[in-house]
Amino acid sequence: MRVLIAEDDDRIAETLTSALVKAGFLVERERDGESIWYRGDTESFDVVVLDLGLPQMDGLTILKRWRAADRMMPVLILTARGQWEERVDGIEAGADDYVVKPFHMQEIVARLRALVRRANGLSSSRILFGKYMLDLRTMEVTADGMPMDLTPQEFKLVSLLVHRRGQVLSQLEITEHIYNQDYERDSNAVEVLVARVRKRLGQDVVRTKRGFGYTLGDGY
Amino acid sequence: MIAHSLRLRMMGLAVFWVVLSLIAAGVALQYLFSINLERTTRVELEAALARLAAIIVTDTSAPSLSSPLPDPRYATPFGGRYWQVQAVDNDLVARSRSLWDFIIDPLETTEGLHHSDGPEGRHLIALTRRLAIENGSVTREYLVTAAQDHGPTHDAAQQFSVDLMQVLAPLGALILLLAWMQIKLGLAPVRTVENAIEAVRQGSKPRLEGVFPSELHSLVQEVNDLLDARDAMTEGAKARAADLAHGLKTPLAAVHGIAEKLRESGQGAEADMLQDLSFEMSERIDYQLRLASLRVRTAHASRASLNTAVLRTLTVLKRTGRGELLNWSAELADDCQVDIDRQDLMELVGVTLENAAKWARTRVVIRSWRTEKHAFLEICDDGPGVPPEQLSTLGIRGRRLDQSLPGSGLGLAIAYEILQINHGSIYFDIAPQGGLIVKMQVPLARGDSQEVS
Repeated sequence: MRVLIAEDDDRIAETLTSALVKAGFLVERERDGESIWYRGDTESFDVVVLDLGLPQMDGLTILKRWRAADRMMPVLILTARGQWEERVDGIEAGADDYVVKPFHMQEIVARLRALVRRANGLSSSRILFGKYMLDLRTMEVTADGMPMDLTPQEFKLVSLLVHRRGQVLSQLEITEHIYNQDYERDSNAVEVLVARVRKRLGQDVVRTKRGFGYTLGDGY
Repeated sequence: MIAHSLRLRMMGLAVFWVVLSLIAAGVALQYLFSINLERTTRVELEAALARLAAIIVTDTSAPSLSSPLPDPRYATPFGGRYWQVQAVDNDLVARSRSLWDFIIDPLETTEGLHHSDGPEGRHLIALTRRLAIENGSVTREYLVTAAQDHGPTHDAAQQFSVDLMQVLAPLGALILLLAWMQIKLGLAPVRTVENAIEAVRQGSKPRLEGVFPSELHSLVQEVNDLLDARDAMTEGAKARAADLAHGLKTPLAAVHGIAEKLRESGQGAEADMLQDLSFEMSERIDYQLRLASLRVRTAHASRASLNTAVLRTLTVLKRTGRGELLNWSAELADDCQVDIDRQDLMELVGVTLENAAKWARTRVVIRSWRTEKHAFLEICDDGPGVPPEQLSTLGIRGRRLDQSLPGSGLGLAIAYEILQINHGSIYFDIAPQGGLIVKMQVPLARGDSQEVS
């Protein structure tokens, strides 16, 4: 899951990044309002953690601009201000959740997962596909209750395909949601990763739609 | 007291000047009356002298009159009118019968009226002239005196004084009454300023508003400038408090992150301690920040929709945290406007519903109703509730009855503070299912309290 952390405080951003990477998120971070708005407007993120007090452009303005431009990714507002009027304003401006600083990292992770699930029409953190089950809390894939030994990248690919069930994802989209921007991307990286997942879970788990990309296999 | 009251000060001056003026007028009138009386007396006495000069018999050594004066009072002993003729050459005197045996001491050097003793100790006012009358080759000189009793003149002057007092006293009272009315009417516009200041003090108006006399414009402007400066200072202080809170809470969040790292490195106890401390500090900052932002006021001045506040807050709670897992039921009466600032009402509803969401197991029920003067909001959760003996301690600042969930117990304390400032009240009870019932009573906004349904 690709998450954008929009936070100008380095210490909080580092803590968040560390916790979210461990939770299996692909984390991108921006400091200033203009850059945050631009990236959210032009790139695809599964969820955004948005601080309200940002330099150049405040978080609420960024959020309103995104929603006005029909950018509907889930947004979790992170703020030091806990007054109810501000919380209501944030939600009414289009935020999906609101967390007041300081916060428990587990709470942020849980809420971000819930937001991503909800955005993809899923109601539980344990998602069944065929004989397999994807557990977002334990970051495991099990087959008939037996854990599969997947690498973090393999888990991310499976999670992405399951969350976007029914959608065809291009190699570029998969790359964006699995690899960091500064990752030196190999043109064959996605193909190699797909091949590894097929080898572990079965050939028909990932279906190739030639010329377009990959999707979760029929029956999953 | 006079020094502190414009009205009494002006009235005191009015009394002083009116009394002084009336005394001066009385003295002046009395003087004019006396002058006039004297002038009349002088005219009468000069007429008598002229008549006497015409009828003095000069042939004999003793002076006499050739005929009596027509006024019978001259011929009546002590009749009130007197004459006397004294020959200068032999000091022989002829006098009216009214003098009986009394001789007036003529003041020869006095050409005008003079006062003299009279018969029977009377006080006379007299006019004496030295006349030289030729009789052939001889010229004889006489001191001719005409006089009358001073008593009637004196009595007339006295009576005039009494009459004058009887006129001037009511006139003075009337003038003072008019002066009082003038001061009252003149100072009436000051009352409009007082009312405008009272409106500001009660919070119904932010500045002095209304039509004021031009003489008070500068004062009104000064007061309004002062109020603007005070508001700017208050807003500045609130903004600084908010900035301070923001500035403290962000590092606290970082401290929280450091605690997470400590936990990962196996120092769980230290991590817990750091996290507890940072949460507690953060909540205390929030509490003070919220108190600082509460609208301080003492009178009916605000209007906010109770249903709007509840529904907007529910929108947030249903989507966030534990709220999205709960079943929310809102049985709200027709909307009413309550007498609380909109943001304060949002805070009040927010903290109480958040408290219910924190403790409820599955369900929160919200009910509202209204009476003639108040709106009521009841929030009932199906959580563990509170032992009856501890109900009275709810809402006391920082008092936590259950340490199992995070928080400092300041949420209900904030609700208590908001209601106290806004003349409302909060009660706690045990729900039939065992959860907590929070019942709040809030005064209806002015205008809404008359639309009783």
